[in-house]
Amino acid sequence: MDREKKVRKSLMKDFLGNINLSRRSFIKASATTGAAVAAGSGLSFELKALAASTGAKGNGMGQWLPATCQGCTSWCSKQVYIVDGRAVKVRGNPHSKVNMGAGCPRSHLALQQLYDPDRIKSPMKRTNPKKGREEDPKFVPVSWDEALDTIADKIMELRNNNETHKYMLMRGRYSYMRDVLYDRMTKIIGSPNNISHSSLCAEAEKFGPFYTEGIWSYRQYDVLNAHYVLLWGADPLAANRQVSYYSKVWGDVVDKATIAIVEPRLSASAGKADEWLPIKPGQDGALAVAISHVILAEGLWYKPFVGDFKDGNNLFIAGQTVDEEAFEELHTNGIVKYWNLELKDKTPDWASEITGIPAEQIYRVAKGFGLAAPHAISWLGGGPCMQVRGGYTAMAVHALNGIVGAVDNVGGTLKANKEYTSKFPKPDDFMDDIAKKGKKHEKIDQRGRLHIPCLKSGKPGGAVITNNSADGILNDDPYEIKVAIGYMNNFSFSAPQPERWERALSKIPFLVHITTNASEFSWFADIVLPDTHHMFEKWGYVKAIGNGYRHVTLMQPIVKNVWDYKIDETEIPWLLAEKLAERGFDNLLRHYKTYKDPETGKEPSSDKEFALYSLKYATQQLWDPAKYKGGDKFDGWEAFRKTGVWNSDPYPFRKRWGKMKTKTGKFEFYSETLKAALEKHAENHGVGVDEVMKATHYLARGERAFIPHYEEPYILGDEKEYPFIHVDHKSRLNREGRSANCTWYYDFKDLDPGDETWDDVAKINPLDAKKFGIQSGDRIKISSPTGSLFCTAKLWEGVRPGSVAKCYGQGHWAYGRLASKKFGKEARGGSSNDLIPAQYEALSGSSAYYAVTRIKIEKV
Amino acid sequence: MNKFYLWMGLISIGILLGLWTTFKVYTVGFTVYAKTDVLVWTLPLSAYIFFSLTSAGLAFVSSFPVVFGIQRYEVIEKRTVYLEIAVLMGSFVCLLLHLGAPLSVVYILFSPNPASPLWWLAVLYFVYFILLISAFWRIHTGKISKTLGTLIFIIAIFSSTTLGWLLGMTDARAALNASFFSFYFPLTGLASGMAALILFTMVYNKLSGQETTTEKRALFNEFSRLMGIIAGMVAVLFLWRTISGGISSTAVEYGAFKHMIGSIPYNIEFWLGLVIPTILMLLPKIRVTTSGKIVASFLLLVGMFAGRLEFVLSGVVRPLGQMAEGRPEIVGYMPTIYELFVVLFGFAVMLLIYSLGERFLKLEAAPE
Amino acid sequence: MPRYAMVIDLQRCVGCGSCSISCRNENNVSEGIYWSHKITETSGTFPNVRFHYIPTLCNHCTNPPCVRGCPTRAMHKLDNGITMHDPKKCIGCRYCMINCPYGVIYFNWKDGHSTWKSDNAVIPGVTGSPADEVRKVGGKGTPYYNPERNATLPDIRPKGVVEKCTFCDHRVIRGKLPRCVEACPADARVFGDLDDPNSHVNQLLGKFRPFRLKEAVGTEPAVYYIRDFSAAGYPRTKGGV
Repeated sequence: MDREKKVRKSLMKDFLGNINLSRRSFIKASATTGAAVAAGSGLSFELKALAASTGAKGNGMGQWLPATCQGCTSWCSKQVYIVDGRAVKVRGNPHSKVNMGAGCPRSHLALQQLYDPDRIKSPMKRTNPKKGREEDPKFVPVSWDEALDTIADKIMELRNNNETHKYMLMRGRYSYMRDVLYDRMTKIIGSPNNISHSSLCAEAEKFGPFYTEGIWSYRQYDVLNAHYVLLWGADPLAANRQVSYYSKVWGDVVDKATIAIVEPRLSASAGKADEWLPIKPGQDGALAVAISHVILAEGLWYKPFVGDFKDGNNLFIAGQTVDEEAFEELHTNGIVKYWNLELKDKTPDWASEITGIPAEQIYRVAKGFGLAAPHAISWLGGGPCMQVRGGYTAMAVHALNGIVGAVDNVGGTLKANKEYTSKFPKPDDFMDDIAKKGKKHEKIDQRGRLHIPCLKSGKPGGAVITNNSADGILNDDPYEIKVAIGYMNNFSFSAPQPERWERALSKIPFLVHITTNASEFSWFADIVLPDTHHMFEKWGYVKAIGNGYRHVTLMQPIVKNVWDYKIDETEIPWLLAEKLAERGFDNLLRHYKTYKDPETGKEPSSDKEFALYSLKYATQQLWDPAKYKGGDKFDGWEAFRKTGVWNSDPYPFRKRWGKMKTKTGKFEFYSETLKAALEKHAENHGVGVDEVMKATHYLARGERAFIPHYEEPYILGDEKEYPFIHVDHKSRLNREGRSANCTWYYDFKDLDPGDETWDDVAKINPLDAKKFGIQSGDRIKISSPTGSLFCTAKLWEGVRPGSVAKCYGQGHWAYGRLASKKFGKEARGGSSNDLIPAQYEALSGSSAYYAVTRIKIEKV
Repeated sequence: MNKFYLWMGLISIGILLGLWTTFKVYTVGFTVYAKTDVLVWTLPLSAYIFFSLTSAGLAFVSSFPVVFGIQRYEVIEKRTVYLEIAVLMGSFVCLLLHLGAPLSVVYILFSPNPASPLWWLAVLYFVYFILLISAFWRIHTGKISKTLGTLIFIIAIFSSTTLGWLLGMTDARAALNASFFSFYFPLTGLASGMAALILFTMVYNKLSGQETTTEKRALFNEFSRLMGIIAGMVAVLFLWRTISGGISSTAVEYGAFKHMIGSIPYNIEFWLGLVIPTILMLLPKIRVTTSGKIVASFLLLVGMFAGRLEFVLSGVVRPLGQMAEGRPEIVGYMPTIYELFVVLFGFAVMLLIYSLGERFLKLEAAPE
Repeated sequence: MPRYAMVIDLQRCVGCGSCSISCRNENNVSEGIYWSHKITETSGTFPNVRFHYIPTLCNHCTNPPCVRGCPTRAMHKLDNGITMHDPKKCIGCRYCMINCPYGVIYFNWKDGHSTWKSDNAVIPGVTGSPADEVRKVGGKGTPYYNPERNATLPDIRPKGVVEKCTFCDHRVIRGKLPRCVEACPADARVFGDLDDPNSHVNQLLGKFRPFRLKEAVGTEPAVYYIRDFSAAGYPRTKGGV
C-alpha cells in the first residue's frame, strides 16, 4: 500500500478551524452561561472551596513532604506526595520564595528515577579482572561489609606505602554535604586529588562576572522589572537555572520587556522571544562588542553608573580614539580603554558579516537594549563562553550589564543573597604527616600549568579542569592514580571525548563508584556502591538563587528504602572511617565525631546519626532561634525540617556599587583583576602574559588580554571535510543526563522544539539537507575529527544553515534497559560528547562544548 | 466425498488460524493489528462492513418474491436466505474481533443510547438475525412467510442506511461524512449481494454438474444483467464521489480520501470491481456463460471488499487533532498477518456454514 | 451544579509539558497515551522562524459527538459538564475516536504499563527487575501508581477499552484543581465554573477574545484559549510592493 509520507505543513491552521466563523456560536454559549448563572448562583461556593483548598491539605490518601530536586542546577525546593511510604507525585514547594511553588516538567521524572528497576540493589564487585569497554565486568553482589573492607584495605595500602596522593576522589552531582567526602576525607587520607565536575558545568560562565564585577558564581536576574532581556545561549525556560521561577513569570516578562535571544538554534525560550538572533556558532563575542559599540556611539550608556564625558559631548565616534581624560568614570573602570582597544571599530556592519546577523537587527537590538538602561539584562548562558576562546566573550557579554548600569540594579543582574549555613569543622588537626605530605603534590588534573591557568577567583590553578584528569591518569602525569572513588559522576559519558576516560578508568588499579545505576563509569569499577536518590532518600541541603531571594532547601529521606542504599556524602564516608579506624587509622572517624548534634551536643555513633547531625550542624544558624542571623525564622530543627526550605532576606539593590570585589572596587571594563591573575600565572611560569595567551589558544596580545574583546572561534576540523558546525544543547527533560532510563523522557522528548518522541535526532536546516540528499527519518552517522555517533536526521527550520543541532542526553550504552539499546554493548541514540573533542577554555579550566568542532554527516 | 472433506479441511485451516488470532488478540493485545492510535478502524472492521452489506444486499434479492411479488424468483429463495445467514455470521466474526471488549455488548441492552446509530445497528442486526433464522426455518419446512420476508426487507433497508447515518454524523471526518452514503451503502450492498448469490449458485452448478432448468438460466441471465447495471450505477456514483470529495473539494478534511485516490484498494474497487463487471455483464455473449458470470461476480465481490477497506481508510489515515502531533500528513497502512487472518476467519466461518447447508439442507429446493 | 471549564492562557504557557507529564502521573496513564497533549508547529523559514505550542486535552464539549455516538453510554456527560467514560460499559468499538474532532481519545491496544511486568534484570543478582520493583515498593502497575485515581475510574484501564482526560473529576469532587492546573509552573491554566459570573474563568473570558478549537464543528468545547503563545513584537512596517 502507498506509504508515502507527506510533510505536515498546516497542522495548526487545520486544528484551530475557522475561528472567525465561530464568533456567533461563542456569543450563543455566553448567553446560555448567563441563564445558567441566574438559575444556580448558589452553587459557586463549591468552587471557591476548591480554589481555597488546593495547596492546603486535602482529604487525600497521602501527605506532601518537603524535598529538593537536583534534576538540573535550578535546585528547586519541592514537595513529594507520599502514600504508604511510596512517592507518588511531585510539586513545587510553595514555601520557597525562589521557585514560588512552581515545578517544571523534569521534576516529575524523578519518580521514574527513584523507582528505576535498574538501580543497583546492593554493593557489587567486579569478577572480570580485565577492564575495558568490551569487557563485561561480570559484577556479583557483595555485602556492604565486604565492599567497605576491600576499599579500606586499598586506602590503608596507600597510607602504609606513603603514597596517599595516589588516592583520588571524583565528584559529580553533590549537595553541600559534599565536603564530608570530597574535602575532609580526601585531605585526612592525604591526597590533593579531590576532582569535581565543575568545569564540565559552566566555569567559563563565572569567568565573565568575576573579571568584571568580582563574583565567581551564577547570577540571578530581576526579570519582572526589566525592560529588555537579552539572552546569550541561555534557555531559561528549559535548561538554564532557574527554570521553575522563570517559567512562572515569563508570561509577565513578555508583557513588560523586549526579549531577544542569541542562539544558533531556535530554543524553547526563543519560541517566546521578540527577537531571535540566530548567530553563527562561536561568533557571540563579535555581536556583544558591536552592541556595546552602538550603545556607546549612541550615547545610551547609563551615566549614573558609568559616568559621562566631562563636557557632556559624546566623543564615542566610530573609528575614533578617545582621550581617557575627557571622561569621568563613576562606578566602572576603563570604559574609554575598552572603547579605544576594542569597541571603536566594531560597528554593526563589521559584526554582521562575522555573525550572520543583519546589521539592522544588531542596531535595533543594541538601541532597544541601551534605551532600556538600567533595566536591561545581558544574560550569559553557557553557549557563548564554554568555547575554547570563550573567556573574553563571557566578559564582553557581561560587560554589557556594566554599560547599561544593570549590575546590582533593579531590573538587572544580581548576585546571590546572603545565607547563613556553616562550614564543617576544619580537618587540619586530623591530618597527620603522611596526609600533609601527600596533599602537597600537584593535582592530577594538572591545573595551573602554563597552558591551563584555571584562574578561579583570580587564583592561578584555583579552578578544576575535570576533563584533563583523564589525560593525567593516562600519562601518569604527574603520577599514577592507584585508588579512586567517584560519586554520582559519569565522566565516561558526561565529559567530552569520553573514550579517553574509558581508557583512563581501565588503567586505575582500584576504582570505586558510588551511583544509583550501573553507568558507563561503573563499567570500569572494581566495587560499585548503591547510592540513595537525592530527592527522596538522602540527608542534605543545597542553596539556590532566583526572584531576588536565596533559599536553602533540605533533602530528607521521605520514602521507604526499597533496597540497601546508603547516602553518598555522609553514611558511606562514616562507614569507611569506621573501617579505617579498625585498621588502626582513626583520624577520619575522630574528625567525623566532632560533627555533634547541635540540639543535644551528642557526638554521632552511627552512619545514620552522622548523616543527620552533620546536616543539623551545617544548617544550625537557619533553624536555631538562638543563632538567628536573618531571613526566615524557625523555632527549631523540627519546624525547619517540616517546611523544608529557608528563604533569605530580599535583595539589597545597588549596595555593591563602588564596592565590588575587584582590584579597583569598581565594575572593570579594563580588568585590573584579570591583569593581576594573568601576571601572577605568567610569573609562576617565568614568562610574559603574551606567552600565556599563546599557550591558551588566545589571539590577544598586550593590553587586549585585560579587556573584553572578540576572538575568532577556535573550531576543530577542516571545513571541506567537515561542512557543519556542531551545536550541542540541553533538553528540558534532562536530569543531567540521568533521565535516559525513564519512559517519560522518550514519550515527551518532543517537548524540546524540533525533537521527536522515542528518537534521537540531529536537526539540520532543510537547505543543507537538500544539498546532501538527506531526509527526515534517515539514519545518519555524524563524525567529528575525534569521534562519531549514529542518530536520526530531522529537517528543521529552527537551525542555522551550516550548523547541526543535537540534544545531549541520549547515547548511553549502559545505565539501564531503556537508556541503552543493549545494556553494556550498544547505545540508544548518540551522545554529543562522542563528537566533542577534549578542548578547554583554559583561563577558567572549562571544557569547551560549543563551537568547538566541525562535523560531517553520512547516511547509513 | 473426498472433495468435500478436502474443502472442509481447507475451511478448518482458516478457522484454526482465526482461533489462533483470537487467542493472540486476547493475550498479547490488539497490538497484533496494524495499530497506531490513528488507524483505529482497519481491515477487520472493513471486512465486517463488507459482509454485513452483502448480507443486506442478499436480503433485497430475497425480498423480490415476497415483497414485490415476483414469483419466478421463488426458486432461489432458499439459497438466498441461507446465504444471508452464512454471510451475516461471517460479519459477526469480523466484528467480534474488531471490538475491544465484546463481552460488554450486554450493555447495549442495559445501557441503551438511542442517539447512537451504532446502538441501532446492533439492535437491527440482532433482530435481523432472529428473523433470518425464522424465515429460513419456514422455507426449510416448505413455506415462504410474507410477513417475515417483508420485515427482513425493511430491516435490511434500515441497517444498510443506518451505516450511512453512523458515518454521516462524523462531522470530524468529512471523507466519511455524507448522507450520500445512506444511499450508496444499500446500492453497493445490493451489488455485492447479487454478486454473492450469482457466484455461489454458479459455482454450485459447475461443481454439482446438474442440468439447470431453462427457467433458472433465464433468471440468472436477468440477474446478471441487473448486476451489471447496478455495478455501472455504482461506478457512476463512485466517480462523482471521487470528483466532489476527492478532487474539487477544498476542505482539508478530505485529505485522507484524496490520498486514497490512486491507492491500491481504490483502483481495485473502481476498475476490477465496477468497470470490468459492468462491461462483462453488458456483453450478452459473456453474460450468458457460466464462467462469465463467475468471473464478473467474483470481481465485483473483490472490488466491493477492497472498496470497504478504501472507504474505512479514507476516514482514518489522516490524523485528527492532537493525534496529528509528530505524525505525517497521512499515516500509511499495511495490514498485519493477523488482520488478514481475521478476514480469513470470517470467510471460513461463512463458507463452513454455507457448505454444510449446501450439503445437508437442500438449498436447491424451492419453497411451495 | 457547577459547569466546569478551563481557560488556557497561551502567553503564560511556556510549552514545557508539565501538564502532560503530571497528568500521566496523576491518572496512571500508560506510555503512548496522552490525556493531556499539545499541537506544535515550527512556522516560517530560517531565519524568520518561530515555534508555536498549544496545549490540548479533552475539550469536555457541550455537544460531545463522542457521547452521541457511544452505543452503550459508556461515554457520558456528568451534571458538572465533565465528559466521563465508564470502561465497564465500553465495548471497544472506537466509534468515539472516529467521532472526536480533537483526537483526544485513546484506545488501550494492550495491557497498561506492560514494561513493568518484565522479570528480567540487567545485571542478574545486583539489579532488580521491573516486576520486583513494583512488588517491593507496593505499587500497582507502576511503583509510583496513584491510588486516588480509583475513586471514580479504574486506576488502570483494561485492554480493549478507550480512555481520555476526565478533568480530574476525582480531584474536583474533593475540591482540588485538576492536576495539570496544579502542576503548571506558568499558571497558564485556569479552572472554574462557567455558571459563577465571578469565577476566574469568566473574568478571563470577559476580558479577552477567547477561542476554542475547531469551533466550526459545533462541539462547544469547555476548554478556552486566550492570548498568543508567541507574543513577539516586531518593527513597525507597512510592508512594500
